This record gives sequence, C-alpha cells and structure tokens, in this order.
Amino acid sequence: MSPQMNDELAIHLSLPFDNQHKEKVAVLEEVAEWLSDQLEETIAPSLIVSGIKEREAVGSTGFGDGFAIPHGQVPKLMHPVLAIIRLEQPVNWEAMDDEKVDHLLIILVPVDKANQTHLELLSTLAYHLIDQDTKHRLKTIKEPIEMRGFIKSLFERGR
Amino acid sequence: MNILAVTACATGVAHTFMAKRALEDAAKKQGHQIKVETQGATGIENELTQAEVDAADILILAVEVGIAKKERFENVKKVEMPIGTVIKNADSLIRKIEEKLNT
Repeated sequence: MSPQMNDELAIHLSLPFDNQHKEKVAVLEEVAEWLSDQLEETIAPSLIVSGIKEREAVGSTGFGDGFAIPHGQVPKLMHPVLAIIRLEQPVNWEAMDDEKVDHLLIILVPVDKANQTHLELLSTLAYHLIDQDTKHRLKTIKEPIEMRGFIKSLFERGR
Repeated sequence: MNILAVTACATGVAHTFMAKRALEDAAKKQGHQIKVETQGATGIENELTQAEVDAADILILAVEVGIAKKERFENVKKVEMPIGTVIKNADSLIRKIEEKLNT
C-alpha cells in the first residue's frame, strides 16, 4: 500500500521533552531524532533539522513569552505535522523579547504542498498566539488528549 | 474611533497575523471599531473596501513590504508603524493615536 499525500494534520506531543542540550541547534537535533521516530514515513532527522534551519536563517522564530514556531519543508513527508514540545530546559532562541524558549510549536510540511497548507496553519496559529489565555493553556495543559482538543479548537476558530 | 489597518510582514505568515490580533485586541479593549486587512503569503485577507476606507478615522499601516491596492488609501489619514512595535505595544499605540486625533 503506497501512502497518499494528504492535507490531514498529524499532531505529535512531547509534554515534557527532557532535552539534554540548551543550545538551539543541538536541541533541534534532539527533537528531530524524537520526531523522526514518531512519523509514519521514514525520514532522517537531519532532513527535519535542515528544513527548520532554512527558515531560522531568515529570522528567529522565537516571538516572545517562551514560545517559538520553528517551521520548514521536509522531503518525503506525506502530510503536514504539528509538534508541540515542552522543553524541560529553556533554550536561547534569539527570540524577539530576548527571553529563553521552552515551548516549541514545530510545523513541518511536505515539499510539494508547502505553499498553501503550512502557511494557513502557521497564520492561524500565530494569530491565536497573541492571546494570553491561549498561551497560558499551551503552557499548562498536561494531558495529550486535552492538548489535541485545544489545538483543534484554535484551528476551528480561524483567523 | 473607527480604525482600519493593513499588516504585511516580510515573510507574510506569522508576524502579519500576530499584528492583526494585537491590534484587534487593543482596539476592542479601548472601545474602538477596527478592521484589519492582512497582506501575506496566503494573499489578501479581510480586504478593506473603498467605502470602509472612506468612513475611517485612521488607517494604520504596519508593513515591512510594499502593499497592493494602495490607491484605496490616497485620501485617508494614515500612520505607519513597524510591525514588531505593533506586536509588542499595540495598547499604547492605539492610545497615542487617539490622543493625537483628539488634539
């Protein structure tokens, strides 16, 4: 059975993620290893890292209050992925407010469909990330089921 | 005040929409009407009509790139501000605009 590329978002959660490193690239590598294991497709962690690094080079995705939204295109990925990673150890992400980051909202998209899908997801997510209450919930929800439900509700609310 | 805004950041994804939300929240909290058009990677969303522009007290341009359909804005009072500033300080920016318009 050959997998079909589709638009359905796969959500992966690590609440919390016990990162051993505290430097941006090293943490990305750690997280990519973990994420690579979660994915259905066989994708080398290095492809995930390079996809993300390409966007970080344009400007840090850390936008304040401990959050970052790393994102990128990943070859061989068949559908968009959202990974919510709550880091045990905060990391310097060169964020807009100069504070360390402990919550990563990572979005990965297939190369072919990169244009519309991840842009719409990111846009909606970013829109809600201004809200104090939303940020608070993203930082405090412990149960994966509750987190999934909360994320779905954000996308449903639109922008 | 009846406030309109256009947000457009360089990559057109995150900051564009964060500025939209920040402006909406700040304006509503201070009792103003607001409509924010975004010009980003997904195209133009929530487009401002000429009628809306003509009825506005002020147009906020939080843009890092050239914007499309500028002709609409020839005759409206405008203020430009960096998108990063809007995201961080929307509350005080709206307040300052009101002060200026009332003097």
